[in-house]
Amino acid sequence: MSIFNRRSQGKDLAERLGAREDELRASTLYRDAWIRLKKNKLALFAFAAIVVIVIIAIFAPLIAPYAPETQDLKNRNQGPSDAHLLGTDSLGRDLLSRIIHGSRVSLMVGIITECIAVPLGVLLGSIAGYYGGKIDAVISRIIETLSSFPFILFAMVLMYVFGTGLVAVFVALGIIGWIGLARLIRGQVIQLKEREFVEAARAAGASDLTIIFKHLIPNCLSTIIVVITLDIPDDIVYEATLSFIGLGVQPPMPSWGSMLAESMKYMRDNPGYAIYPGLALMFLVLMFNTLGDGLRDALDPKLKNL
Amino acid sequence: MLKYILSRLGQAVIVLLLATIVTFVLVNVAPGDPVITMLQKRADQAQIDRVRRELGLDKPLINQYFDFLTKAIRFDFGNSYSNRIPVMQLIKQAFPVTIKLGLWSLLFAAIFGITVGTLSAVFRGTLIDKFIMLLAIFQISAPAFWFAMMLQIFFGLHLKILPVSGMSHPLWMVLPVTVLGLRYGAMSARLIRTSMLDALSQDYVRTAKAKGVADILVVMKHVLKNASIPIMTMLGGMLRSMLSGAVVVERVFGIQGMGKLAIDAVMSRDINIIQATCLYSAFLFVIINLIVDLTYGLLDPRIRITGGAK
Amino acid sequence: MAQEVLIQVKDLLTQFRLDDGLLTAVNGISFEIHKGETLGIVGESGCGKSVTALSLLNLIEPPGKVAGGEILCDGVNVLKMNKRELRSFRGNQIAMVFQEPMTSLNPVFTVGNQIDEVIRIHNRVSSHEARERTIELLRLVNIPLPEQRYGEYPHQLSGGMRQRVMIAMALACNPKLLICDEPTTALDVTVQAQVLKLINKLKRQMDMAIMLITHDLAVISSIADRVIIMYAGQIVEEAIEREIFTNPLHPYTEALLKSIPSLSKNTEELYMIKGMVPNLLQRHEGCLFAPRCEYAREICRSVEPSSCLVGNTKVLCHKYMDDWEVAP
Repeated sequence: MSIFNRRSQGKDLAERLGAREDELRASTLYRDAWIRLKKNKLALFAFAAIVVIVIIAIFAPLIAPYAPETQDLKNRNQGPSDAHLLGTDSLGRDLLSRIIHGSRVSLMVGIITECIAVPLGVLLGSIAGYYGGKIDAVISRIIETLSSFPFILFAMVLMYVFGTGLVAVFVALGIIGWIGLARLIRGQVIQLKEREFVEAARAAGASDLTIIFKHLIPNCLSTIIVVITLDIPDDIVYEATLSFIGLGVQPPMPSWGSMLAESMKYMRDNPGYAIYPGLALMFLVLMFNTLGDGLRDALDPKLKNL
Repeated sequence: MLKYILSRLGQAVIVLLLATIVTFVLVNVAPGDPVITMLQKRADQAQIDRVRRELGLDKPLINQYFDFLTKAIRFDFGNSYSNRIPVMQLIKQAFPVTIKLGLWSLLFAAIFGITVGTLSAVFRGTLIDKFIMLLAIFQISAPAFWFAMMLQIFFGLHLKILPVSGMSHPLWMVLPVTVLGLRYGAMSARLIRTSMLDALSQDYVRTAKAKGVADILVVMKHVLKNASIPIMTMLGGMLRSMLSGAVVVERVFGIQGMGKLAIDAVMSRDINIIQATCLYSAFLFVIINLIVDLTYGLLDPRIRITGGAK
Repeated sequence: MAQEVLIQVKDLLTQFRLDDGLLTAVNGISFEIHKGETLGIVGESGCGKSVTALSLLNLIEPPGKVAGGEILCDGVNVLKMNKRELRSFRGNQIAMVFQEPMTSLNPVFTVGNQIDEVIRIHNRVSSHEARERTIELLRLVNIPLPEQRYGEYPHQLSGGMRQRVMIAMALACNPKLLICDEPTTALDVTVQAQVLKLINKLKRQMDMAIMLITHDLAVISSIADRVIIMYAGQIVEEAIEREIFTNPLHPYTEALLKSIPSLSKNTEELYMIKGMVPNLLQRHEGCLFAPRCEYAREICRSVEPSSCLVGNTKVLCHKYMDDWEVAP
């Protein structure tokens, strides 16, 4: 048998062993986490509530009693009534229907923003942590610089660059969202890369990319899950804030933030207009935060400072 | 310690330099011609060219950047495009308002957070703890601007005991400070609780008790000094995100601070003000970070003596 | 040797209320510590030896609780003391050295400050006097340049040095009993011997009793006068040191001795005790060691053994009870 063959066989074996170790650790980790999570009634409730909200958002046109854009100028700023459960807004549109449709914007922002932020954050964070040295210095300085702007101000400037509207919101929040995740992943990778299974893989000749993608990132998975769950509510609030300022989602598209901005003008006559969309917003954010807290306690108690 | 301070200072300067680049690039890749915005489309081409020359906008971008940088170092950000007032003058009016709001809120948040967080940690697992943590997560989940509106409706419009907005009433700060203070107080209470619990479960706490140190002293001396290290980091982060929160709260309460300045500038595409507010807050953040890092060094002998290799 | 009793433990029962049930860490044990003797407590991790030590100082924290028994120190029940009495008792009458010197010292205070603290809690002395005494203590535990070490932080010292600081801190008020919980486990082998020798020297010098907790029989053999073997929260054998090594009675002690890797005997394989430590959350019938015992009979699995005296050795095993020969 040639030396080359022997070496690749050794590599194969070591890699298989490494992977098996990862798998074993992972399977017990997630089973234990699931057992812990099942005991957390609050987190389970939050999860169920989020599922319900997602279903409502998907079937919004079927569930909402009115079309969100239908105006009824004779019945403007009405309080709750049988016809309009939560009353109407300044153009006589049904508040409940607009809130139901508004959930689509919030959920979409949460999901799409994370789809941009997570790959960026995981990749840059693990590269910085794994390679260290100059690469780390560059990425770390970029992270520091971007986080030296107040997030909301930075988001506003990005909206200035990309223009207003839903897509611009996704891009702007995605660009901001990777920063925190990258910082966390970098820290974890720095710790993980000293561990035996990484040494073993390296000794067996695994390439840097293999180590990062097959050994390091899977080991950060629980952190990533927790961070996503806790970042989604932040994204939702950022979108609402941007729309509230007037830089985000533009009317007539119903977004909770822009509804609240509009309601500012009618706070005296129609307080319900200001109360209900905000309650919806708070409830959704609260549910994500509760689920995130539960997941964190179950998956990764080390992250309690998050 | 000196080495630690110098390396932190060096990093701070690099970050500030990068911040000027980011700001400059962002503003320049944005669509639309600022000169046209400024002249509000009434001007002819000759006029546009003249203004562009005056502002140095006809030079290559790299020269423009160095112009911008050399002026920014002297805190000169040019004039506002919309009303020709020097940007620094606008900032000098707005900044003290925001800082005053921020510092009062920080004081509120720190007192509230440390008291409530420590209580929660000491009574961990009891009803007190659960109640405090429930209120905290509610407070954190309510967006600042909406909570501000709710306070306006209740205290301003319903009870009519506090001003709804503006800065003329002597009690104008009460509601904004309550909004920011409660929000960041709740956040810090959660963090202080976990840092305290973490410190409480350490072996040295058991050692202290085995030595016969009184419980209250164990918490006040051994635990708090250790917990103060993460708490300090958190306070810095809190001050930063509080400035972020102030932007929206200023908007809701009609306060003429940095936030309002920034929002108006983005709305009217006034790039000199946008650049100035961005850099000004980045500068402030870097200073806060530096102070936090240095305090960190004072609190933690491991950093002070080994020079910050974390 | 003086047989005057210093500490008397009667039916000590310490339990932990965990999510999955009630864990009995120490199950009704009784023993005595005499003035000036070295008592070794040996057992695997989780057998309750550290919990016993913490119980002596009434330092069990929730969810744990001393649920029964008495601990008499010079006739006073430690478990009945109020907070003030406990404070002046801990660190003064009984002091303790923990396993991990790194984490047991507070990282943000100088070692001098931490030793001063215990002196000033228990004595009315000026800060200057406390400092003098601290430096004297550091010298006593063979720390070079004590004046300089006084102002240093734990992370600046080596592991052995930190453990010496812990010992100095424990000795600060001339305790009657020094509890050493695995004092050498976290240290390098060469440093281990030095620290043990130091403890032994100090014991004679200061005329105090020592309770030495370890999982390593070899550690005991060099300095203990009497040895207690613990298994699953119970004392299974109690004898003078020589008896344990020459004439072990309990099957568990026998197995422990066999599993010491010996250099003289050219054995091919290391002896391992088969089976697992019982889960203390579950209820058990019979002898707790029975599932792992090579002598176990029917009676061992169904009836709980009671303590009996063979010579001067106390042992908890059916083998030494009257009915063993006829037992099923």
